[in-house]
Amino acid sequence: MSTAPEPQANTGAPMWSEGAPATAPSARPSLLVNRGFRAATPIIVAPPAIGVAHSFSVSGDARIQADTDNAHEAAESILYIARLAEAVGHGLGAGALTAVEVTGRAAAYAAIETDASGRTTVQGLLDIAGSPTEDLRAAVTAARGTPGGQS
Amino acid sequence: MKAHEVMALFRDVPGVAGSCLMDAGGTLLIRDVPPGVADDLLLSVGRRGRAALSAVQLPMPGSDQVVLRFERLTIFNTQVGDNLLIVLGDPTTQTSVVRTATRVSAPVLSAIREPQHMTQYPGATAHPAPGRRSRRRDEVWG
Repeated sequence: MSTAPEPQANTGAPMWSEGAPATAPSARPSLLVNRGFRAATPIIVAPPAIGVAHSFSVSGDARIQADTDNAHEAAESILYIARLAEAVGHGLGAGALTAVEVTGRAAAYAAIETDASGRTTVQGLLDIAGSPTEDLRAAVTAARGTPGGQS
Repeated sequence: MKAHEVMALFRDVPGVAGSCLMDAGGTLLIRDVPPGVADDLLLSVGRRGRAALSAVQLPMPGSDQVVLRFERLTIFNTQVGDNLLIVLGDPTTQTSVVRTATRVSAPVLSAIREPQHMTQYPGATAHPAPGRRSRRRDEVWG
């Protein structure tokens, strides 16, 4: 008589949802091509594992919108850093500030635009789980609907 | 590995042009950046980098790196012990690679307390001042 275990029921949940918060990103699994091993062999990988991300934005009149107090404080800090960076960018001939990233136990990415009149707009994500800023940048870029950024 | 050798390794990261290390008092401990960047400008960058790191501590405790991305430059400000590491790169420089390089270098760089012997930045003497002659390795002056 066979004692093989019964196959587990398929719950229908995608593999990458295990351990992820209820607000897991709805992005479809991405495809990577392992070019160094077998060209054109698609490998299914999990989408960016953004943990608990909060969003914030700053309009041209410096009005902050954020979904948590923490994200609001992050937006204030990013605005302050943008002011600090102005002098640095000018001194180094680096051009306009386009983004600020923060990494560590938490992570944040903020896309920054300054128009000709000096009005700064910010759109960003704060992730207390510390996702790679590359993932946050991709999410912010997707939300803005414009390609850009280089991280 | 010596500290200045560790610093020079940052230039192996694609896009990175150089780096420098400062202590909490704003003293330049190691400089490995292109000669066109003046020391006082680096110190100015360092002061603002420290302020930026302080600014993010409240909303994001445990943050140790602030990256400023400009149109033509990227500045990585990273806390290594009590010191501040500044890495200068082009806009394509990847945060994750610099972060890994920093993590590997941190044990050495965080222990630096005194200004170190500065290595010659590559290319710094590639274009000697006009009229100055020096002897080449093949013993030819010119």
